[in-house]
Amino acid sequence: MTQEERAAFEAELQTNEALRKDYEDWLYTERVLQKQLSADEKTQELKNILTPLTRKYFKVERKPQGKVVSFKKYIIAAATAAAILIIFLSIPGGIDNYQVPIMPQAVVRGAEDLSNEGAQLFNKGEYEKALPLLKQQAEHNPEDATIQYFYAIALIKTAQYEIALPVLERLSEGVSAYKEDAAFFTALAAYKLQRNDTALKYAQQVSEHSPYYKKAQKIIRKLN
Amino acid sequence: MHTDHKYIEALKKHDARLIEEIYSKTAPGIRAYLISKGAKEEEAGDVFQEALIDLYKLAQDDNFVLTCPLEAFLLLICKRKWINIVEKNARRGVTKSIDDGYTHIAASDDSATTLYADTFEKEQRVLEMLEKISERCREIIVASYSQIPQQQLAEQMGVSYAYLRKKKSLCMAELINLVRNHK
Repeated sequence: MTQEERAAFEAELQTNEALRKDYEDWLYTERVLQKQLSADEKTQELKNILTPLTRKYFKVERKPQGKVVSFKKYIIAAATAAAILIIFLSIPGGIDNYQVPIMPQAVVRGAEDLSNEGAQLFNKGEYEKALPLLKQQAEHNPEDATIQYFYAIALIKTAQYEIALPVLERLSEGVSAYKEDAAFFTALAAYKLQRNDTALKYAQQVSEHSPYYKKAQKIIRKLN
Repeated sequence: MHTDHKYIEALKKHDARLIEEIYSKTAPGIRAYLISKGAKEEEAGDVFQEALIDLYKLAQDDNFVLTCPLEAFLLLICKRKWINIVEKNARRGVTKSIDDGYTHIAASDDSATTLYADTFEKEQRVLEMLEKISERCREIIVASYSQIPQQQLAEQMGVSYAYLRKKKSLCMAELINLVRNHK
């Protein structure tokens, strides 16, 4: 818009009521979209913190629903399940294809910079680089479940299962919001170390409403 | 500013420790309220979590200041959300008493708080209408508020920059009209 066009537009705004209303609505909608849509990008990160807490404070038990199926359907379902299982077992590392949670930033108060850098590297998938930072925070904050959890996952991602296992076992036996998700990673670490009884024990602790339930079931099926 | 404003900052900074404190302090009371109004455990959890996300979005406005206890503000948002769900599902038996006084948590009679809640609901209407416009328009509007420069965005979408600007204007007009008609 040239300077003259802008001046003409502003003059029109002063006298044209309908145009002014349209313009105000436009500005309002722009403002709302700017605020809401830019927040959306960071909302997923927040949800990763909220979801386990919601599960903890609102104890959701999703009971499996009983279903009446015909015998024929049952045979077909069983055959399909068996086929899927065979395909699954023939794919190496099927249980490794799990969802990695997004690490929240500013986890450790008083060490925000260190924490943020560790979280940023973790979220970029640069686990090797994130690990020393997360380790340092984990050692200084042994009671902080969040940092312990993400430190342990970084260990898993770098195949340091032996170190990860006791960290995860503590989380799985504790009362933090990460208890149940940690149970899956405990099972995974134990499975990788071929400690099958431990793997089975923790995989069985992952309930149906956990995002890791299906992966935990895969571990159980592999061990049975 | 109420002392609980620290929780607003915690949400903005994704401070996991203080966020857990929000749950430990406010979730039991709000859970009890929602359950008393007919919500199931899972629904109560969803409503509470959505309310926190709403609060997080509200807090993106730097002028937003919490002037009442957080629990009262969350109760206000959860109550409105639950009323909307109930009305949507037409659970009339429950709606009848949904707005009854709830004595376990002091309700917020702060006009600034109510104004924020109203403002937020109005903003949500814009987003609801965004879901109703044509898919191409929604795609253009959402993309144009991303961090990607508009010129680059046009290239990614396989259109000229001039076309993108014109199309965005038309799409915005479509959205504004829908919002107007749904007041």
